[in-house]
Amino acid sequence: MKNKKTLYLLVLLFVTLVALWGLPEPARMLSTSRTRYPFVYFSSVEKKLMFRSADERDNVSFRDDEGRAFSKREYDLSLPLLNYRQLTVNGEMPDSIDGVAIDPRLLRTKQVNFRYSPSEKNAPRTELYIMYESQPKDAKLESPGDVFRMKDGIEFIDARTNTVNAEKSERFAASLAKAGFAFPSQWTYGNLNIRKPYDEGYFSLDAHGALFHVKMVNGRPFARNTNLDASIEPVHFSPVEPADKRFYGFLFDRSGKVYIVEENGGKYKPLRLDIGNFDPDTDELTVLGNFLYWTVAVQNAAGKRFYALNAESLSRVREASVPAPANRWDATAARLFPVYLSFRDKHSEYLAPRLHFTRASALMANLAAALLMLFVPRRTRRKRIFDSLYTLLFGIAGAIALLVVPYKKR
Amino acid sequence: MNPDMPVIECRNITHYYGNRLIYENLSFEVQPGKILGLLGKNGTGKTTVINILNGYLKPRSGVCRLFGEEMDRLSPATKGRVGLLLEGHVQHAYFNVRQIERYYSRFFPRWNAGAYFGLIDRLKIAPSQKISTMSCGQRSQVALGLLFAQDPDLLILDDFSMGLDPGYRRLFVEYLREYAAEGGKTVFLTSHIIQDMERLIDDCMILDYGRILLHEPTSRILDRFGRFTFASNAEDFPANPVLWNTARVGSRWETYSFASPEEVREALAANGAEILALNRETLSLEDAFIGLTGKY
Amino acid sequence: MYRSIIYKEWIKTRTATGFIVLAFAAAAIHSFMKIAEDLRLSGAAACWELVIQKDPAMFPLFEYLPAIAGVLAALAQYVPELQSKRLKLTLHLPLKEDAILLAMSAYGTAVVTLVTAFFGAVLLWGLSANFPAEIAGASFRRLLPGFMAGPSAYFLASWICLEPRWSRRVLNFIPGALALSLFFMRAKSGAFCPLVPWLGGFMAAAFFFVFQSTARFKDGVQ
Repeated sequence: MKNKKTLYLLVLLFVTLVALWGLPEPARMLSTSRTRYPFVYFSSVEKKLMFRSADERDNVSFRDDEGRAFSKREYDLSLPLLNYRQLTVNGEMPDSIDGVAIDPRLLRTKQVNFRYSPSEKNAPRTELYIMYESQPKDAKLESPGDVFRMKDGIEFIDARTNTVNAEKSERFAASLAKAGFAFPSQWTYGNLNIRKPYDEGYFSLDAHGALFHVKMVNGRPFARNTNLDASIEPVHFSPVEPADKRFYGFLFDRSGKVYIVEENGGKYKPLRLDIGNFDPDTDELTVLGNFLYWTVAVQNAAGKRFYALNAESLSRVREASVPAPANRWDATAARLFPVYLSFRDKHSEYLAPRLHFTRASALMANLAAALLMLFVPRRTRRKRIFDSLYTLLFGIAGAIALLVVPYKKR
Repeated sequence: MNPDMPVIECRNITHYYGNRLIYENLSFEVQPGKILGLLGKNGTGKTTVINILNGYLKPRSGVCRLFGEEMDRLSPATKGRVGLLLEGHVQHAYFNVRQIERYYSRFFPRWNAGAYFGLIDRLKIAPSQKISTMSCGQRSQVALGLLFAQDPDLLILDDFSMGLDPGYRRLFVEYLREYAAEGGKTVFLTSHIIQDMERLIDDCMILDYGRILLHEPTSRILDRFGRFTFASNAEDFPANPVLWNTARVGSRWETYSFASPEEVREALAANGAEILALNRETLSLEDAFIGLTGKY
Repeated sequence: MYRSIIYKEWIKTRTATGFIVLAFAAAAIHSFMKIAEDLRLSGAAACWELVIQKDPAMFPLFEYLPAIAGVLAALAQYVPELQSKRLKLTLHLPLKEDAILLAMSAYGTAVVTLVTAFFGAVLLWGLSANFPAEIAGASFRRLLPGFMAGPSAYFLASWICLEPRWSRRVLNFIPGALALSLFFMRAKSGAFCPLVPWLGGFMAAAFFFVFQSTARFKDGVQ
């Protein structure tokens, strides 16, 4: 009971921190608006990026990257590779584009549909994986009845007995050792989805930073070093299993480049997407591809960039960008909360205290609150000065804490 | 320790509840071996004095000391020397009779279990009976028994007579007298029932709204304070420091005073009023209390 | 003397403690029966795959139980102390006031912590019999914030309970409830890991809040 001052400060700080999060949170929920970006797809006919935008009242408009307006019908016709089902029904589908005959099978197998979000990489994982047979007999993936871990070594655990299947584990360990894999593994990514035509297993980064491909073929282990160029330092791998088996997935490296890792006669060939710098911790990636062009979108806090890439070489054909639309919450925060606390971040599945600083101009709110605190009745002059300085530092949250926490003058 | 040091000492206590003044510059002390009764009508702040004494209320200003230690910094040893009875004989009522003895016994080196069980035995309460299921009188005996077992040097009793029927009140008073007589114990008690007090308290402190009306030995009050009745043609008597609560009662007047009949007559006649058939009556403490504080 | 304080706290809280232990035991039995049923009906392999892919909560009942236990323990300890202001008797005991309060608070903390830790251990032990260590570990990481909410809820409820003034209790309740809600944010197993040290720091600080309430009680705030 002797340290009343310390107790006061402790409770004051507690209420302040709660208010730093608890005040802006409802304000954010009330004021935050949906970030609306146009839908963009590269027209193989117009050779331009086509924008479909919806305004606040859901009025849809169409234009190309030079600003020319399109009618809905013109827009649909300009994107035959996107709307081929509808155009085929209407008998409006061209026979060929760029001299390539349009074949329904080609349309289907060369289609790429990929999304990456930073929360895919920044997420807690169980670190248990399931090894499917990569070439199932009846074209259906079947549960193997075990799971495996591959942190400090590869171990298969039988689900029925909850014990390590030593024989299978040793076979895979031997295969990995033979391929030159060095444990402990830094990370392992695979596509756990069972609804896919085949399984390419896992890509794992070994202790030395080399990327390995591990899968099971006809019940036998398959492990191979991808032997990527030493200049590529992988930080994340998103496996995909495209219908044409052209590539294994998307590779993100430390220097901000994005690659696909192509299958190349039993070898692995990285092919860079010509899309500028990409930060896998903050940027979202969308790839919509057909057999002629890939439309790639990169979205981050600054805005959204769009690229049309040649489907073969992944070199840039055209590009456009849209700055981030104004968000009402950002404006509110910049006026009221120069500093606030949050625990969630859309780029991460992890919860952590995150201190946000909005704009220096928002300090005006602190200054105004600090001035008001000089006139709180029934407080000593010293206390008022303390209150004012504290409010200057913590803003409205600090002022509320000062008014709420009981203070008894001596 | 200095044997002449007062057991309780309060200096210039001023306290308000909100803007309502409770007392201003209240000062008093209690010498060792005395039984002091703090008497006052309801709402004069008797319990507030007890709370301030024990450090359960911080007054606006002023200081109290128990055994020379300031009230909000009582050392464990001093707290052990003080037995405290809260208003309404409050105790840890979730204990039963035996459990509460076990609980308190470990805190006090001079613990005398016999004193407690002696009192309990008289009540014919089962040792497993929970205190919360007892009558008010039984609870008061448990609380008192615990205090006697603690064997404190100072007993502070807040309104111990509250809710007790006359038998229990008498029992309580007898025990208390016996206890205090045994050896050098100091008792500070408050009460709003004055009956039985004259048999118990050595000193009497009467609290009025905002101040101490009187702090005198009980014997002096009983010997010297009297009620005077008289007849007079006067319409009113101005206030006089010698006289207390002068008022018309029916066809006669009455007044109270420590003074002799001659002095009273002189005081009354000071304004030239005619004073007839002046009669002095000796008073019980309760009558004296009413004489001092008025009926309302 | 501290043994006596513990004895008093035990007498006050034994019913509540029994109730808490019973609730935990019932929830544990129910959870294991549910898991056993799933294993039997879908087979172990399918269960494991589901857990790996979907990360479901294995012990949803245990998310809120520790916090409820914490609140219950605080109420059982401090409501009787505030009835007729018995806390005055307690603080009058021949010990330092801080030491008395520390002993009482330590008792309540120990009850909540021991019960949650014991059942936490039982859950993980039971889980690791049928699931690999990674899944048990993920379940532990999922349970951890809820289990940390137990002592936290106890500290906050004690703080609110011992606060002598009703209006202030309401004012304390608001930041208390907001802070406690942090322990229950919906998230994947393990998502709380970066937050755990901060929540731990908050717990350590909240332990002392009750001293503020008692200081106010001692000052005679009404």
